[in-house]
Amino acid sequence: MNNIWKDASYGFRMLWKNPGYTLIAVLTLALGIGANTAVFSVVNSLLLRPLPYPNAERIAYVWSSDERADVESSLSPHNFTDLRTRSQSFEAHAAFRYTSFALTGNGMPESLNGITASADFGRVVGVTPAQGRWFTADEDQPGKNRVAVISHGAWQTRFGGKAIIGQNIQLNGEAHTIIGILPSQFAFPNISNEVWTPMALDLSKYQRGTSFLQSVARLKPGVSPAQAQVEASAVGRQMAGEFKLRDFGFKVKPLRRQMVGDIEKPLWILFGAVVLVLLIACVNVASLLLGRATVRWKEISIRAALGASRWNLIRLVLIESLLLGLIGGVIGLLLAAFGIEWLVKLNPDAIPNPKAVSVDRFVVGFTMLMSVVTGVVFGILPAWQMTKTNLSQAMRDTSRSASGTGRLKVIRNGLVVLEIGLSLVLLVSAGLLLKSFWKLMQVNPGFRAENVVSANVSLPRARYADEWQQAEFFRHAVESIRALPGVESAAAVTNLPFNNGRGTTSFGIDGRPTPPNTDGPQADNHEVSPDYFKAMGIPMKAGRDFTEADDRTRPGVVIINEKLAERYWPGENPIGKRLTIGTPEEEKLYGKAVSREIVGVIGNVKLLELNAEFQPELYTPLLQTPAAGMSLVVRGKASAESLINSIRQAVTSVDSNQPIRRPQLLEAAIARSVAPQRFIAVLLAIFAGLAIALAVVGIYGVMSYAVSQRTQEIGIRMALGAERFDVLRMILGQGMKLVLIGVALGLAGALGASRVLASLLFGVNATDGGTFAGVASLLVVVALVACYFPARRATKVDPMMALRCE
Amino acid sequence: MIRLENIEKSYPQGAQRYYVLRRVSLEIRQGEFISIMGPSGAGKSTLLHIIGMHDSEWTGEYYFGEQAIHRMRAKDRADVRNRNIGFVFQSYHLLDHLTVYENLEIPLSYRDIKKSEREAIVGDVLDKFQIVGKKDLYPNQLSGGQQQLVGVARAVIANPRIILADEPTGNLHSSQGKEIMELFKRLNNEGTTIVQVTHSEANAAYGNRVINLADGWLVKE
Repeated sequence: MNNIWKDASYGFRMLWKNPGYTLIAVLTLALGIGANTAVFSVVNSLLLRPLPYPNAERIAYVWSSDERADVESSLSPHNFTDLRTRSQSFEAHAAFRYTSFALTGNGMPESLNGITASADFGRVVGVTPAQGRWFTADEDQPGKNRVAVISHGAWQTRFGGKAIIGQNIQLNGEAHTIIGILPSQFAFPNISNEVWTPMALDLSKYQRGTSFLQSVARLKPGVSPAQAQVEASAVGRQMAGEFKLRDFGFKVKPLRRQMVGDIEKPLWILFGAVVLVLLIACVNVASLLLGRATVRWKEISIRAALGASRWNLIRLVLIESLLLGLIGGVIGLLLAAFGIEWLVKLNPDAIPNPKAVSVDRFVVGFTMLMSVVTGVVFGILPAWQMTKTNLSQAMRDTSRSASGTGRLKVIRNGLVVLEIGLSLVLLVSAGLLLKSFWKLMQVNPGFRAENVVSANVSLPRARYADEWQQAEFFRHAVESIRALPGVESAAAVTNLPFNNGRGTTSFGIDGRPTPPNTDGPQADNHEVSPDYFKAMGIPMKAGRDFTEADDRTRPGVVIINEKLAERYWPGENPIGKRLTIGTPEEEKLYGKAVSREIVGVIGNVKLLELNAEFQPELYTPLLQTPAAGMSLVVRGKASAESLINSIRQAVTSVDSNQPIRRPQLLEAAIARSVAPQRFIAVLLAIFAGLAIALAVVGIYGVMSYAVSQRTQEIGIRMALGAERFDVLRMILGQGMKLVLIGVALGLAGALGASRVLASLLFGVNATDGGTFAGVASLLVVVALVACYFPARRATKVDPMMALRCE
Repeated sequence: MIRLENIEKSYPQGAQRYYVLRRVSLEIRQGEFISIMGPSGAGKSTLLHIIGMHDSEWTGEYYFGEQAIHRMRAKDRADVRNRNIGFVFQSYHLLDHLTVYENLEIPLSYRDIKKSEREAIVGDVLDKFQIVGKKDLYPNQLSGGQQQLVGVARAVIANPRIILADEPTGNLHSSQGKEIMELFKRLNNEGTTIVQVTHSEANAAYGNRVINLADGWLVKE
């Protein structure tokens, strides 16, 4: 032990006495370890850290799914209820939906995020209120559901932490009794919702195809998600046959996978990328250590001659590299702490639950372990090589001491080749993802998002029980907004693209009977006020827009998109054709299903993702099909952001108790939808940049060393008539030979890596020749520059000095 | 103490072999002070390395006392070497980043000697070689003669039975060289066997036996 401390103390002294070498090595390792720690802390918090629910591995989301396209979507109340009744896999199964509540009666109206859920929700997620209780099955019945459970945060901020259980509050204009306060740390799934109320589903209100529910289930002990999936699929097939549902099924998705979403694979890819960066850093430091081997060869030999065993010598060298690794690790940890903050700030929308991303004890342990492993990885080869001493050489004169130089040169050259190859793998991966991201950003969403701002308005049924009252509210609100200075156009819409979800409905085409007990064709549906297409910049392809005249007193009208037109009237003009939607709401308003004439065809619009297929859509006029929850869409003459306050005032001028929610620029909403893609592309580009920088340092180091070793040879060559250009060519040739071998190996490696990336690419082939060639050329040019400086120094060798120095 | 029989060392040279040592047989007795002499390339240093067990690629028989070195594994040879042989180099070969004290301590640290015991031994040797005042200096703060003095002190610190020295005064001027040779003589008088490689007749005169090599052959004693 004493000897280990002695070696460590000697190691410290050696590092201190060689500050240049130590600084480069420590910085290189700190960057590599820091990048790993930062990405690992994200991986840890999202993929590894236990979820904060009891037996969370037994919780799963259950979605409706399109068996053919593997698309998951919300459940209809009927399908949810049937699955819950028929399935044996679930201990409890609850439906819920995100909503907002207008809290009134206490000054200005406030908008609270909340969840309305069925009674089993508390059992499924395993939450017990800190005060009071969760709602009962009896309270989950229509007319009995005026109770609310609030979050600890809402209790503190909205109600001052006073005793409030049993008291009434006004939510959406209706009195609700607070029956419970949740524990302070509870959140589901990631977002801090403030209010939970019973859903009290009334099945008679909905068609089977009307889907808007999310659902979450607790699996029975011993039932795996895969087993639950098998059963849910069987139930889905049974229901598809029974209710004539096309390609219908259910998807059981474990809670963690649901919470992590699409970021899981990119995260593992990023983790792989930073491991590659660290490997390159290790190769670089190993190369540095080998460079020092020539200097230390004498010392190692003397120690061997004085009795040091091979193990003593390996330990000496390894302890030094471990010290470097640990110092690099500590600095890397500090870099990571800043890096994580930056990572989250760079892309808050790409990381679910960014607040949870932190450096915890597990991350610190990982970093320290990685520092040690790193120290061994980059130290072991130099230690092995340096301690292969020839003792008889040690006894002789030092001028003959560098017998290991040839062997070390081969190894260092090999390391440069490896470094170039690994860098190229990263560069190609980054290149492919950047190109993919660029292609994604070139996708036309079907509307013009610039200068458009949106805000959600959810009218409480207590004050707007009458549907026509709802329509009037939005008509007035849009009028008030239109009158604002700086507004070019304004409208209201349900299911605004890139906002908070989609809504689908089934419909029938007049003259084409739908088979009995089936729902007919499906389409995304929107209720819109006149000028919606103008405000959004959606092109009208045929027919006309809605007008104020398209109200309940006039014949039913509908506008469809090109996708729907092509699917159901291929090669025909759909204008003048008729379809019937026939929702229960419509039947309630009109006493019958309304046949609607197609009066216009608009261009296709991307709904939630730029890389998704266009969907068939239909639009009905607000004044014929009112809705309580809509988004206001406002196109400004210049920047629309400054309009947000004016919009809020315009809405309160119509109803002083009505708040707006989530005001946002449409461009920002689109940007948010591509956040995961941008996240991985940008980070991979940064890591690839880091890799190329390390590779440049590596090749520069090796070439500088090679030039210093060949000084005498260069002197002789010049004395024998070599021109400076000949020397330049000779040294560049030596360097570029290594680079080209590395590039060839790297291209092969990149071909393999691109297969992993293929599923993340959009509009780019995984073997995109342009990217491969462009990136390889870039690397060759950069490496050429790195070789040029040592080569230029070689041309400045004075033959007389070089020949004399030996 | 040491018996070499028909030691040969050669390298391949095309289809032939180039011989560095040819059928060298030699006996070194306890307490001798031997000088190996000969022209450059005669094989002097090679013979010294073989005696010092640094070089293991040779043929013939080598007995250290009763132990047949030629039959031993590398680890056992290293063990014999560490227990019995000390080295002095022409270029001193002190470790630049260690103080005089630490340089002296190195051979002991590789022989699993406890720290307290090491301190005592190093203290004794510093005292014996009268370099106590220099114990905290680094090699580059010493003159050539002082460095070689430390080199010799380091060679004897593990109490070897034999010291092998390869041109120990080669880098020193004459007065410093003389001091070192007198030190060797004193050590020899105290019972340490010494084998040196030298070109200097004057240095050889400190010993009691001279071995001459030419073209790898032992030509005369």
